Amino acid sequence: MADAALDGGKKSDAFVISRAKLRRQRIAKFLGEGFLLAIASFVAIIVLFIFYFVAVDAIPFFQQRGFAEFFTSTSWYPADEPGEFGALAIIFGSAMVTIGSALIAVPLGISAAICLSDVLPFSVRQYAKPVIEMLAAIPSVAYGFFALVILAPLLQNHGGPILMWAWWLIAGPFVLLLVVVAGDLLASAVGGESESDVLRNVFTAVLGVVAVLFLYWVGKTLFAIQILTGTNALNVSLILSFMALPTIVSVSEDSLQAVGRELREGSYALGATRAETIVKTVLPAASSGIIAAVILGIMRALGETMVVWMASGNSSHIPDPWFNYLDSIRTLTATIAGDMGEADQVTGSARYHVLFAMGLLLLCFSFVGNFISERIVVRQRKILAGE
Amino acid sequence: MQEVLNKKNVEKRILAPRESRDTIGRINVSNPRMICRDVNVYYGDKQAIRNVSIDIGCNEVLAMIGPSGCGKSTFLRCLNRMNDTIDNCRVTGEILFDDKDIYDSSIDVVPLRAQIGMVFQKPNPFPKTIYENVAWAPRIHGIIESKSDADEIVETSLQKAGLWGEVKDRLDQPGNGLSGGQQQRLCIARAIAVSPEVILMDEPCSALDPIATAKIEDLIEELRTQYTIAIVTHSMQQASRVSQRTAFFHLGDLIEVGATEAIFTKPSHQLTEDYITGRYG
Amino acid sequence: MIKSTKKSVVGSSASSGRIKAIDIVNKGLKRRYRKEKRFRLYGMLSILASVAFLAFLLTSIVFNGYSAFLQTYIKLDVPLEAGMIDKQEPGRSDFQGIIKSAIRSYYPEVTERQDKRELYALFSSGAAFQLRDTVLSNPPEEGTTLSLWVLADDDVDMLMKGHMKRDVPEGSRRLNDKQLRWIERLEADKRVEKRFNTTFFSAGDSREPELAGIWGAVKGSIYTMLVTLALSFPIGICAAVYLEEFAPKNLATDFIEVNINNLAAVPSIVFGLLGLAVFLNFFGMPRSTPLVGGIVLMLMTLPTIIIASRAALKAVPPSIREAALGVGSSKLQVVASHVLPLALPGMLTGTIIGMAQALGETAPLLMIGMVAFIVDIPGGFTDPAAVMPVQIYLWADSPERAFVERTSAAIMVLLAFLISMNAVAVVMRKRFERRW
Repeated sequence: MADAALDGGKKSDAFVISRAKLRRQRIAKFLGEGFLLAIASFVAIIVLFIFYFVAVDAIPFFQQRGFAEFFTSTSWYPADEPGEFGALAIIFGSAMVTIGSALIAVPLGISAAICLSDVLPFSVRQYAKPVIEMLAAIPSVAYGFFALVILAPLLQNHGGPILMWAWWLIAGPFVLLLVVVAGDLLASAVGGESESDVLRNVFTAVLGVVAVLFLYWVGKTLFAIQILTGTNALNVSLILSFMALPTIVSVSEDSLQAVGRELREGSYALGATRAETIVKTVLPAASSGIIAAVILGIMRALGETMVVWMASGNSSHIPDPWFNYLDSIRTLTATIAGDMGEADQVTGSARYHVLFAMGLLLLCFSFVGNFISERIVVRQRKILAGE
Repeated sequence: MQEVLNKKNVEKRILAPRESRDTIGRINVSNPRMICRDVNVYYGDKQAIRNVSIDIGCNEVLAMIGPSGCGKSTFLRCLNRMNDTIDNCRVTGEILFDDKDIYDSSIDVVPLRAQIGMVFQKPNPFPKTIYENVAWAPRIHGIIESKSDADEIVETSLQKAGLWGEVKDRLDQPGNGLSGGQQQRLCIARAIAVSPEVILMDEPCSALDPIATAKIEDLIEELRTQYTIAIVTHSMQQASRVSQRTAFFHLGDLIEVGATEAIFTKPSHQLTEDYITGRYG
Repeated sequence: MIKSTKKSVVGSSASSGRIKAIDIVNKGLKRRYRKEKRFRLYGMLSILASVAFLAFLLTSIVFNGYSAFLQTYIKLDVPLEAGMIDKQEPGRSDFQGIIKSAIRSYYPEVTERQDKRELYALFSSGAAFQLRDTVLSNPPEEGTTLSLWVLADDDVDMLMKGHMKRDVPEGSRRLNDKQLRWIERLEADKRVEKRFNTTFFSAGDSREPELAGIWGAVKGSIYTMLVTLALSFPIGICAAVYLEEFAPKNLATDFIEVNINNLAAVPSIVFGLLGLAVFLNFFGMPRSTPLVGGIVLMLMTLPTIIIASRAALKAVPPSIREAALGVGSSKLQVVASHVLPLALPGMLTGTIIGMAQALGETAPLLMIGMVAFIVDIPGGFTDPAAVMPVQIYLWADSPERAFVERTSAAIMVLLAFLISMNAVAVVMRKRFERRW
């Protein structure tokens, strides 16, 4: 940095540099940092561009056809002349599979995250975590293939038995748990403080018999169900839930870990069991991260295209009754993917623009979800810090 | 010259081979609350505590002092089996509480920790309200059955911890909104709420300012009448102020134990004297 | 009730008759431990469910796909009589005819036209090309008889692999009884063999399953990945460096950060819409090319790379920056010469993970046209190409049984790539972590 302005022994001039050099340095610094700033801004602006370009191509649809039909009609016949563009059934289909997958993935994911961070010994955790992360590495087209070629025939040919077994495996433990808890409650309500074992066992046995009969009866009913088509909302919801699972587990586990040792030690030192520590102290402290994880997982399910395109049946109608997951449906993402081939031939028509309108809808949902999860994380972080 | 020679002696002694040293001083008391015999603690292959035997008397404050890394915190955590939460930690020896070895396989650690409470170095109140912080543990143990029970226990514990006056009007505010010293007293109230017999304190004032420290030292003196207290501290002045007996640890060994006054005025072991006079530490 | 005695609990033990807090605690223990056991059970169940699903998925794909690595060949004696091979342009000889006559000479009893068609159907239409390649590379003498292992038709292949059952009624099979008898004759003469399926790895897509391979898609993926890497790595690193090292804490920086975050939230199909509307329709770039695909994927992987790079930069301790500044470097020099090399392994890890994500993407590439049926192996960045996931999608749509096994095999190949990429990233991350 020192210029060759050392003449004789004037040490104080050693760190002075000429004005020209100073100016050159400033320009270099300006250019260098400016270049980096430009690139970072470019990345930031991409999102705005995406929004802009999608909106620019979406607005003509609403100009041509208005808002009412799109959001309230279920008649989707874009190829007709003139076409009908009622997307309500499609929006409903998207909602159906998103909610369906959330119902499976959220409890599964949060329990798995808790298990990974607090229950499993370190050695087992080393193996369990990569397995769950591998679920995330599998490409969506592989899931779609699996859903179409393996799961769909399975549901179609053996639908009844599968539903029955799934009911027993999933609802069984829950119902039995309810029985035990109810037995406890009844015993203490009737018997008072004495906590008599006999009383509790009697109640549990009676309730247990009732529960087993109930499980069996529902199982038999399910067994008789004929699934007409294997490519339906149930199939898609199932697969989507396992695609969203790694996201939920990963982010939830991170926030559980972030709660820190001191809080857990404080709870253990007071004599709490592990379950009590986790449920009553750690989980509430990590709740923000977990909610954010759930939102991210749901958005992943909402934005998924290949699986729904291959395995949802692509039938644009609201199932009858509306909660019938065994029926085929169609989602926004699959419609965009599937119809664009034809629609692109008629650029400028409503058929082309309606797909961008759907894209705009998806974009808005994603941004809203992102925004909400950000807000929650920031707010809860403040609570943890004690404001 | 004398200084240099003495220093050399000290260094030689510190670097002596690592067999366990005999403890100087009386480890027994007439009315012990907890009895520790031949306690060894290993972290994997490393041995952190060597053959420590000591009694903790009823309603006394036992201070554990020593240079950093000498194992006093590790030993303290053995007393309520907090070391169980560390993966590769192994404890051998006997620690008797109510004539039962707490490391026996038949002992349930959950009620044990309700009887032997702990206050940590860095105040760690739960991210809940002040009320909830104190009421939480009694509730899960089943000691509290109704709201009025809870109110009573919260008020009593906060009073005993000397915090009631400062927080009685804001019990529903978050616990970690308090100052450092108040948070630590909240943690003490939390520990008291389950009516323990023994309270273990791991350098409770090291994260606090002098005024808060003074308040807590006064508190310890008051609590002594009802509880047995074992306190780890790196401040010798604090040990001499609050404790009746002092134990000096050094590199995993219990070097000397005895009445606080005796230890600080005429220590018997050279290492103890060197530490107290500030030659190292 | 016990309430009043609770309050008088004191710390000292010994005297009996008073109910201590510890007794109350002990009473409640049993119930609390039952809850604990149930709680643990759920956690374990959910992990087991995930593991079971993954195992089911992988085993069913492997089960379906492993047979694709073998392919049925039939040994055919091809007599090359005079005049069959054109002297001037051997490549334009009627190889199809030669093959047919070779087949006829092995089955002299087949005379009906319909029967002959069914006979020819047992052999792949690519057999003629195999003969052509052999003749061109090794011109034989006239009058010799070539013994050639030619590809069997995919129906024969399915039969040999056991996917087509022989003992079902004729109507429910794709091969009728006559064809079965012809095949049995070949089997008796030991002229049917299953060999390693090199076609799968060396050929491009084809309508005939036995001729279809993934090489075209693999090359397409490679080109696309190169474009993505070349664009996203430098841009991502620069953006991360700016945000971590130079950005002042003001509203503009918040704006940039928020929007990069939003970029990660955009659904993949919308990137496809963007590619279509902007790159293809607005800028007029060529359809189905790795160039456009690479640009679209670059937009998708940028957030991953930026986030991982920022974490890597954050992990470099400030003491290094201070030391460099202390000897008189400018900020840019500090970053370029000191911080960046230390953060590079972490950045590479993030890049590898981002590339692995991009490799598996299908939806946006469908939208920019990479779904077209492309037979030729792409030679450059602007040749029409398919990528592996799109190829898998196309094959999954085809009804032939043989495509099912090929789709599974292609998924296995793709998964092998993805898993090894992720494994490399994880290993790198572990090695890097030991530094500090």
